[in-house]
Amino acid sequence: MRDDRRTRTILGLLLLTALTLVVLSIRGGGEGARTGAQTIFGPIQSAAAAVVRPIHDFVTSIGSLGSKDAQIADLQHRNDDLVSQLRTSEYARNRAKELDDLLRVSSEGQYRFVPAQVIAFGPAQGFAWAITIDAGTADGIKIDQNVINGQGLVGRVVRVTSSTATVALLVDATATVGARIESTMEVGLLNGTGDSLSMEFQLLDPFAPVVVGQRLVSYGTSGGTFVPGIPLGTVTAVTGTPGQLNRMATVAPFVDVSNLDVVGVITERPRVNPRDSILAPASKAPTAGASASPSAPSAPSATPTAPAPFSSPTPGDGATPNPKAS
Amino acid sequence: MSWLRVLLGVALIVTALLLQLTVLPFLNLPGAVPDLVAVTVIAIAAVAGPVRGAVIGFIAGVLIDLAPPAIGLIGVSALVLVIVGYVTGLVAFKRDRAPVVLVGVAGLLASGSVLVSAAVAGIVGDPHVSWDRVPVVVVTELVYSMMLAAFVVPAVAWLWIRVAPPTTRYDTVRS
Repeated sequence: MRDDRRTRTILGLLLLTALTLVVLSIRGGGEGARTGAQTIFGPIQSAAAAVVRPIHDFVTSIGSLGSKDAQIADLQHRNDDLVSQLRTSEYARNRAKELDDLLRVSSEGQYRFVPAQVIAFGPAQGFAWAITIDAGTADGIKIDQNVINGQGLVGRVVRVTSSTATVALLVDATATVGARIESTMEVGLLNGTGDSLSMEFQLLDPFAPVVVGQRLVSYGTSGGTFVPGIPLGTVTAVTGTPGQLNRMATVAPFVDVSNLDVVGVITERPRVNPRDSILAPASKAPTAGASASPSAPSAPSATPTAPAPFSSPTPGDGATPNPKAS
Repeated sequence: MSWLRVLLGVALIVTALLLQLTVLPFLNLPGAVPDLVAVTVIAIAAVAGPVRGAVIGFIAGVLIDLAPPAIGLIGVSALVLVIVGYVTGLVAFKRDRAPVVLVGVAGLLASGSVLVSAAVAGIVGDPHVSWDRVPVVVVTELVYSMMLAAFVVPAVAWLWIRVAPPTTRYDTVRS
């Protein structure tokens, strides 16, 4: 019992220090410490991701194969070598397909982007949605640049070191992006809720029509953070009546955050606003839950004309199809 | 506490943190991401006692709040893990502790830490907290932490004794 006082002192000091950190952080401090930590941890995370991701993709592709057909799972045991070869090439194909999706978005939106790999994911119990990517100032990345993938807007760069960058995701509770309804051009604000599957959209004009199934693209002002015309999500529910001030639409984001792998950081904005030309035609509205599963060969949000250049032997005409140019 | 143990503690925390950020989220498990760092703090506190547990918890918490891609408030995890480390040391730092009890304690404390950190973040006004997700995260965290603890707690205990033979294991504060 003689140590009780010392125990209490140490515990009290630790708690007090932690609280001080919280207060400092609320007042906007700690950014330097975080950048420092990122300089140290970033390269380690890159290295860890380089080792872990191929193994992970290999394992998941085996998992999806087994669930589809039990017979194939039996054969696997006998054909280990063959299967491993198959999986490796499928992994490469998936990566290529994600880059293709990204290229389609970029060529139709006339962005210039730097491709990057997701190397770390923020712990979900902190309730903040953020990722680290393996591109930094050395690749031309700056704070506030937009991050996209083949499905739409992923998020925004909030911190950057020479080789890595931290991206706050669109679904994070602090994220807000100006959005426009594809068909009616009505504008509003799309807010993240912290739930990875639903966001909230509030129209600026409370009388403007909004219906389930409408799709949103980023509004983007010339001086603002977000680039115009990036696909955001689909309206899945509308609460409130027209005219009501708190009228709200629930939006399912196009980007599936649980499947992020290859992303692109937009380093140069488009010269002309692409508006909704990146979205697939309305008849083939992409479903929010449809993620690029390892075995699905076709992009869920691809335009009818877009897949052709990827499968044709001449990849040079990849930028030509732009069926919905407004 | 020998320097080897200090080094071991920090090395374990850093390894757990790296695994938690670069490997575990990509498993796409339903609900929470398994909180390997909290389980490691609990495992260390169970063999090192309440005060050292609190110190290790503090170090782990600061690292979580600083390591990319952290964007929330700095210090919340530190605050929570200090408490987790201390309580684990109080409850589990006994010679005759049963492994099953330890696994249960780890599960309860790790999932409780989610609740506490949500509460702390909510009180200080962190906009990231979404209470809708709290029940799912707490429940899945309970399951994952117990599964992790079943492996991590014995492994850490083994390493801890291996690195420096036990001398005064009941002396919680003298170093």
